[in-house]
Amino acid sequence: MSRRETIKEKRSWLKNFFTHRQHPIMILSYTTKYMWLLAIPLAKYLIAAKFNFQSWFQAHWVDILTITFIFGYAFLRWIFVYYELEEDCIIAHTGYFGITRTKVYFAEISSLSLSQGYISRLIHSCAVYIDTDAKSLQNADIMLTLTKKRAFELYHFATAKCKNKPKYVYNSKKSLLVIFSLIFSSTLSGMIIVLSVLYEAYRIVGREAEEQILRRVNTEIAKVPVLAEVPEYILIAGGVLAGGWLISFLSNLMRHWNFSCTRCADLFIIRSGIGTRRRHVLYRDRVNYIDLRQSLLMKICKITSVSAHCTGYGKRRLEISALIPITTNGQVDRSLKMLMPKIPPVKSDISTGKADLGRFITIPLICTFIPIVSGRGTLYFFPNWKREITILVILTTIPLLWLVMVKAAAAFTTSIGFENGYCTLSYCKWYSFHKSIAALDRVSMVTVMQNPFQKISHTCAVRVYTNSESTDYHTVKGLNYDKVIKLLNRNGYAV
Amino acid sequence: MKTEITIHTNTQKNKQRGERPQMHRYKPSKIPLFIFWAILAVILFLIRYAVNLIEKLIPFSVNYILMPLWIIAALFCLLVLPFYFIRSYFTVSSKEVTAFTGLFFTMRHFMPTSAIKSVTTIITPLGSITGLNFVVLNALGARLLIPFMSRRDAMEISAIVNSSIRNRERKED
Repeated sequence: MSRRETIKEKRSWLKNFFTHRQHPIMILSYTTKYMWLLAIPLAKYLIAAKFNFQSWFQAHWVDILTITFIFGYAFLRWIFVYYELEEDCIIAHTGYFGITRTKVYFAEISSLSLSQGYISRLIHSCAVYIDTDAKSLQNADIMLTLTKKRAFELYHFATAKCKNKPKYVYNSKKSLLVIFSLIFSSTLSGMIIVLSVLYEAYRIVGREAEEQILRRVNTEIAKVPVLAEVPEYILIAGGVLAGGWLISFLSNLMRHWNFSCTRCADLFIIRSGIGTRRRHVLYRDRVNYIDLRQSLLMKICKITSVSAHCTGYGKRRLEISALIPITTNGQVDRSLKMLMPKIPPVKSDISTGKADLGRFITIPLICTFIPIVSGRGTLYFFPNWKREITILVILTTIPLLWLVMVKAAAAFTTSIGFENGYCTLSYCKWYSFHKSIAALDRVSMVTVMQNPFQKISHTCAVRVYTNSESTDYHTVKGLNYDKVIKLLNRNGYAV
Repeated sequence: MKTEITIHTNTQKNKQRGERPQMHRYKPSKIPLFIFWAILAVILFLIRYAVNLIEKLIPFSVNYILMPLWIIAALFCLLVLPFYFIRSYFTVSSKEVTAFTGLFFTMRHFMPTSAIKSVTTIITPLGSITGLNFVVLNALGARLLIPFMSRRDAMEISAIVNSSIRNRERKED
């Protein structure tokens, strides 16, 4: 073989070697979290030594050697992680030194997701997640960070069947997306984001900066005369709630900006996001159920959000598995018909009504009195804390009163129905109303439950378990027992 | 031997009720009930013994603490446990598995065998004597536990369900 051919062969081998490996940025992620505690001071010393490498090396050779080992280990780990594409499957070699070999057949994939943040766009990397219905050891069956070119090769491979096929596209209006983010933001998710950022910052810059920020905030609050009247801990709680909610709102808005859902062949292709861009490919026959969600306010304003439960979609942190983020009640049927034509119109075979109102609101009503009674009791033992206790009682009673109103509305909207191989379950869980539509072949178990009070009133609760990685069920309460048994028997569930 | 009679009796009862003959009805073995009684008796005896040792250190009468405990234990042993073992039953066929359990809070489960992905059979040591054998039916999104079966019943349930899964796969091929 001539020298030129040998060089060509070596180049080709080298190219193939790196083709199916992860993006080199993963080498950094394989280094330990504490590496930066060594690297940053080392850099500071180098600058202090005015880039005199000799003296710097002599003084800190142990730290330099440690960092070299860490990087060397990370590089080795990166070398051993790669993937292979075969005709009918993808094989990922992951884990420490590639000891974990995961083979996923394309026919078994339920979802394929791509995610690219700001920094990933700059360095041309892209995270790829592949999921099946089976529960995996990790968060996803296969998780890889590839170059953008390779990631999109996989994406185009998965969506190849959509070429020359008609596409039905649903695009969300921007104004409705703002309302969607307003409704689906929560203080808890906002606080998780803030605390993660603060914790990582604290680990790098130390406690001093954290204390400086807190002192500054306290000083500013003390300057406002109105706020000076309010107890400090109430202010802190209020600030945390409002701040956390705002961060969650902005995060949701950026996550779902430019949302579009395309039905093509047997796939859903979902795109969304302005900061971090996301693409999801869902296999329609792997969608376990769709869920039309509303809060009481959404019910009053006649708007609905539709989510699709498919393994892998909506699994990442703070991700909502939206199919139609938000739409009006009038539009939802049309949009669903376009995206999921097989789903029959919603039908109720058994429903609750005015006669069941008492059953729905009794327990929430009793719970409403608990903070009032507890407040009275606490006031008896701590009379000096009257203002604080009163504020706390009001803060805890308001959500419970709201719950009573929600459950009162639920008494008129709870139902169950079967039509054309699908079951529709309308129920209320805590503060949200759900209308879940599942194909009967995606139902894994049905349970009919009765407590002693339900035995007396001849009612029951029906729990329908749908396919999922973990246990997933929908509970419809307050239905007539005899009617439920007859309905289930008629539809092949000999309970 | 005893189990064989139970199965035949149940099959005859099934025919009398007009149910399909291929449906098998199983009830939990009674032996675990006696084992639980024995364990509870030992636990309560140990609690009483421990309380006797520290009785002098406690300023108030120990009976105020122990009385509710005895009442709960008595209700559990004499009411809840026996009724669970008497009232619970499981029916298994190649098409479906149903379960009825509970005393005050009753639950009726229905699981089509088409949803079952795998079967886990737990046969404990001395399971043929103790009746502490369990069958777990695993489906995507749900799991059904059939507890306290005799060894023979547990093996029979596993065989029926596994056969159904195997035949399902053959049909798909």
